[in-house]
Amino acid sequence: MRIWFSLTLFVLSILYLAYGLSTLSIFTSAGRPGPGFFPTLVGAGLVIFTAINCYKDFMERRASAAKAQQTAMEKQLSKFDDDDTNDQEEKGTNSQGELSGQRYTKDVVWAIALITLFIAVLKPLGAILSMVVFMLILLWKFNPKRMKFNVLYSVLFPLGIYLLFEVWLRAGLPEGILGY
Amino acid sequence: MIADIFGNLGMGLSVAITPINLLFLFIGAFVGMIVGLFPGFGPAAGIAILLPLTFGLDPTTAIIMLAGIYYGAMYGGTITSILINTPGESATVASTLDGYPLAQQGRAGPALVMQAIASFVGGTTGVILICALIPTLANLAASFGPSEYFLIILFGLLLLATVMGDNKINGIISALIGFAVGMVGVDVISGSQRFTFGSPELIGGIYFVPVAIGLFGIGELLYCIYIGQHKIELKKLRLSFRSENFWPTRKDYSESKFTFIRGSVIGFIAGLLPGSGGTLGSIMGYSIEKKVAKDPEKFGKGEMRGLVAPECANNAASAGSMVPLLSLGIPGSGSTAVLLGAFMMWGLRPGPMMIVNDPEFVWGLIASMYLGNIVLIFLCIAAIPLFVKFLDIPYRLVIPIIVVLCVVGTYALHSSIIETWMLVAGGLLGFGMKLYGYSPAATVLALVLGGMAENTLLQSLIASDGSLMVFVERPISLFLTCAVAVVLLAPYALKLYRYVTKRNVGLV
Repeated sequence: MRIWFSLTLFVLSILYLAYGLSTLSIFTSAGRPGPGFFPTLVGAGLVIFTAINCYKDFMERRASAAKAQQTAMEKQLSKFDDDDTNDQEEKGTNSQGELSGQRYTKDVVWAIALITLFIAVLKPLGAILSMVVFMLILLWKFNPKRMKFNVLYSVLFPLGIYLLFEVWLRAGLPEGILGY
Repeated sequence: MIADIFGNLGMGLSVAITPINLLFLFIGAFVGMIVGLFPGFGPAAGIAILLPLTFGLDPTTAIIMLAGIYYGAMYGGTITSILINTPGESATVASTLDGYPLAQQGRAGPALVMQAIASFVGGTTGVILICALIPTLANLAASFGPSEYFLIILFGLLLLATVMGDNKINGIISALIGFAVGMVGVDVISGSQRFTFGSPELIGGIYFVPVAIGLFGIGELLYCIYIGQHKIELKKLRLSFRSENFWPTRKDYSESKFTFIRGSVIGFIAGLLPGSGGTLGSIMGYSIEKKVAKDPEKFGKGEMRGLVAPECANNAASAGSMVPLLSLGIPGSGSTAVLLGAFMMWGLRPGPMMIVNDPEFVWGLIASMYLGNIVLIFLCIAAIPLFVKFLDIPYRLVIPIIVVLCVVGTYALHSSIIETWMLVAGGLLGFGMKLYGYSPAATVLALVLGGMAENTLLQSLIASDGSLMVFVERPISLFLTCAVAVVLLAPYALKLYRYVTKRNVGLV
C-alpha cells in the first residue's frame, strides 16, 4: 500500500506543477519573481522528492518480493527434507497472519464511510438528527453489546453539542428537515 | 533586568487575573489533561479540535484557554505513560522508561505526584526564562529583514522535517505539501488567482483550521482505529489518596533535587530550537540525567530521577517553544503552529511588533502560563483518582465525541460545508501520513507559514535584484544560512565520516 500512497502523491505533485506552470507566470515582464515563482519551486521540489520516494518504495517492494520468493523456494525444498521444519514454517505463517489481522482496515473504511455520510446529511437532515444517526450507526458497529447505552449516548451527547454550539456559541448549525 | 521581568510579569498578572480568564484557564487545563489521556491525541490535536469552542470568547480569554489546553495535554499525557505504558503523545515517551516500572512496583501514586511536581517546576522555570528571553529576542528580531525571516522559517521547517522524523524525505515532502496547499487563493503581490480552478470558495485560500483538525484529529483517529485501539478491553485501575504509599518519600525528593534544575534548563533550551520541542527535550533530559548519575544501572528499572528529568524537560520545552512564537512570530512545532493559527484568527500577529504594540496581551499570556502551572499542579494531584477513572472509558466510546466535535466545529467556523469536506480530505491525508511515516506537524507548520515564507523570499529577491548574496551579506543571515547548511549536510557528513573510519579500521 505504501507505494500507492507515494504514487498518488507523485501524480498529484506532477499535476500541481503542470497546472501552476500553465496558469501562472514565473517572472513578471520586469523580470521580477511572479505569482508562479514560489509555487513552481514548491511543485518542482514535490515532484523530485515524491519521485525519489516512489523509486525507493519500488526497490523495497522488489527486494521483499524476491525475499518472499526465496523463502517460498526454501520452504518447498525443506518439504522434501524434514517434516518437523515444515510444521514450524506453517506456524510462522499463521502467526504472521494473526499479526496482519491486527490491523483493522475494514473498521477504518467503516469510519471513513460514516464520517462521509455524516457530512453528506448534515445540511439536509440538520445538525441534531445527523449527529444522532451518525452516532447510532457508529456505536452499533463498534459497541454492539450495549444497545440501550448506545441509544441514550447517541441522543444525549448530540443534545449537549447542540446546546454548546447553537445556544452558547450561536454558531448557526444547519437546521434541516426538523427545523433545528 | 530582574526589575523589568517582575514589572512585566506584574502587568501580565493584572491582565490574566480576572474571574473569567481564571475560569477558562481552569477549563482549558482540565480539558487539556483529558485530551492528553487519550493515546494519539497530543496538544496539537486538542487545540485544533477545541479551537471552534473559543469563538464566543474575548481573544485574550480564548488564547489563555488554548494555552491551558496545551499545558494540560502535556501534564495529562504522562498519566497514561506511567499507568498503562502508553504515552499520550511523543513528548512523554521518555517518561514511560521509568514511570511504568515504578507503577509496576506499586509506586504509581508517588510517580504521579512526582511527575506533577516535575511538570510544575519545568513549566515555571520555563516561564521565568521566557520573561528573561522574550524582550531580548524581540529587540534582536526588530532588526531582522525579510531574508533573515525566510531563513528562520526554512531552518525551523528543516529541523522539524529532517531531524525529528524517521524519514527525511518524507519530512520534506510533508512540509512541501503544506506550502502547496498554502498557495491556493489570491497572490498578495500580483493579485492573480492561484489554484482556485475558478471556484469562488477557494479565492480566499484554504483555511488552515479544517486542514489542521483533519490532519491531527481525524487522521489520528483513523490511525488509532487501524491499529485496533477501539478493540482494547481496559483493565480497571484504581488509585486513592488513602491508599498506602500514595505520596512520594523524602528520599524521592532529596534524590531528585538537582534533577529538577537540570531537566528544566535542558528542556527549555531544546524548546527554543524550532521543530524540536518537548520530544527532543524529554529524551535529552533523560539521557543527560542517566549520564551524570552515579548509578545509571538503576535507570529503566523504576528510578524516580528517570521520570522527573523528562517531565521537567518536556514542560520546560513547551514554555521554550513559545519564545520563537511570541518574539519572532514563527512557531517551532505542530502545537504552536495551531496556536499561531488561533492568534491569526483573532487578528493577532505575534512577533517583535506585538510585544511593542500589545504588551498587555503578551505578558497576560505569559502570566497565564504561570497561573496555568499552579492550576495544573493542584488539579493534577487533587484529581489523580478522577483522571485515572477517565482511563476506564473505552476508546470506541471516544470516537464519536472526536468525530462530532471535529465535524460540527469545522462547520461552525464559517458555516461552510466545503470546509467540512476539506476536513475529510485532511483526515485521509493525515491517516496516510501517519501510516507511512510522514509528518503532519510539518504540513501544518508550512501551511501556516507558507504566505510568510513566500513573501519574505520574494521581498529578499526583489530587494537584491535576484541575487542570492542577500542570504549571506549580513552577519545574522550568514549565520542562519550556515545553520541551514549544517542541518542539510550534517547527516551526510556524519555518514561519510563513519564510512571513512570504518574503511580505515578495515585497512588496519
